Amino acid sequence: MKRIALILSIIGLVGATATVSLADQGCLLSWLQNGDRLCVSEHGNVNFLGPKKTNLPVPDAPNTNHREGYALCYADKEQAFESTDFGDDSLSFGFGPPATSSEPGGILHVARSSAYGQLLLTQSFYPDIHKRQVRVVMTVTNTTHKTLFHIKLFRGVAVAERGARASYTKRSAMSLRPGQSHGMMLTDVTWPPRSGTKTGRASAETLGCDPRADGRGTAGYVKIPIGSLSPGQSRTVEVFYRSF
Amino acid sequence: MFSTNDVSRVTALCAAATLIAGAVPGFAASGPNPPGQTPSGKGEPCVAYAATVKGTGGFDSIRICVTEDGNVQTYGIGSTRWIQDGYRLCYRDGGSSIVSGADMGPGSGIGFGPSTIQQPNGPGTFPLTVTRWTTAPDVAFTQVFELGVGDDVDLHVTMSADYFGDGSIHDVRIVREFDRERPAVKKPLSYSGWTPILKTKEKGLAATTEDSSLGWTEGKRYGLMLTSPHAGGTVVSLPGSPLWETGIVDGTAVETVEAACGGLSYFKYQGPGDLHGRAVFSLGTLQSVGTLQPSLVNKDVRFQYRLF
Repeated sequence: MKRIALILSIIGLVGATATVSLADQGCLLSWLQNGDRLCVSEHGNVNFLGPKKTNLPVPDAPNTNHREGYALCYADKEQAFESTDFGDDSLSFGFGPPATSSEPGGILHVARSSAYGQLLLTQSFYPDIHKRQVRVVMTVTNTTHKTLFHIKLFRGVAVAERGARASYTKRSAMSLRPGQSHGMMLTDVTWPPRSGTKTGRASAETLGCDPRADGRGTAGYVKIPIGSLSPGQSRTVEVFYRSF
Repeated sequence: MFSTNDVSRVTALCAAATLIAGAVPGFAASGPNPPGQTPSGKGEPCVAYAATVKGTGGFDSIRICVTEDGNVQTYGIGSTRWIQDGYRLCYRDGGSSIVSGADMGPGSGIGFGPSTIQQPNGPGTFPLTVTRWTTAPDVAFTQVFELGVGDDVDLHVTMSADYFGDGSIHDVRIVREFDRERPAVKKPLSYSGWTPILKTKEKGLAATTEDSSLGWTEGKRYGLMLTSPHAGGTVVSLPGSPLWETGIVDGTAVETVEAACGGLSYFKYQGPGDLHGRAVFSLGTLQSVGTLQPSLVNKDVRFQYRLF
């Protein structure tokens, strides 16, 4: 009941024209206005953004051809650790259950610890209906009593459909399919400044902190070198998803 | 335009803007004469000019210049900031689409009278309102140029047309176009869905969606986009069907735009690889302002130039 109440309260805050259908699709943060839609899942996956007829990254019905997600990694002298979530159980591992909260204005916070208990990833989503975008603020915190090294954060969209294209500039990665009315852009990474967007042949199965080539699809993403964090230390990164 | 008496005022404005630059992100400088660009230099004088603090929004310093006639002359970074930007206003008389006014940059204006500009923050600054009249038909065409706030470094433009003649005019359209020259290129490619504009090692690309025209070089620098993210609101207050196009300027106008708004094509063919984007905004029927309720008088379209 508490979960349902939370969903309904968020819908009410985000847009008067929102419908339960978005919540039915697992959207904790959602809007539906002037034909535009945004859906952010309980796990912090941006399931879709843009006009209803747009199929990026996920259309009305669950579509495994489009996946948005994130990964958090670090390594010590002996082992590398990776946690990922690309919106499906088969594509997710290493993160603990999400703790969600909301604020007026349709702001959603999702906090998750890595299953190894070393890092905490907090994602905050700030939708802007008029700009048809959502700002994603990601904070990584070292929750241990020792310094952790080689921490990396990843975020991106994989599209596995015939003719799908992805491309990028210095600061934006884009996904578009021929014949589609709109595209999806991951842009404006604010920290560190040299975190470059990138695209490549990859699928949701091969995305992560170090994406592997996969001819089944194409992906636009950003790899963010967090570096080292001392005990209790945090670093925050900000990106935008924007429909165009 | 402002007079030489305004120079001291402009200098003071620029100094004030520079001081502000250290305190807030966004646009740092504003004034009519940007560094290195004078009326005797490339292009026309800027009646409104702005430059961002380096690093704002993750970009190097962006320079924006708008001329007295409402042409965006620079929007971008370094040598890629120069663009040719223009607009046309058309309507239909019987079976013919007639260009009521057009201005695609220096020396190209037809149909429009002289500009009247308003700058509430002083000469050289944004927001800038440019109003021009056409005499056949009697239409006031207004453009408002505004800067983004904070990390928003888009150039926001609102265009509106108000008809002051008798009765009404039909199938009124506003076209906005830009042209950005590219470096030396080889022959273009055809590519489904994305329209590459040049074939070089740098992979120049262009694409169009329902509300955006964009071009970029893969993995390099910054792309340029003419866009309107206001879904369903590209044409405000009225139904419309904006048409967005990006393509290669090859001296032959695109058929759909020809049909949409006259038969003019001002952008010269600079060689394969020219980036050319345009949007056609349909305003439908404009009734005489005097016969309309106030809420229906203005037919505005909004869009912005954006780097990505």
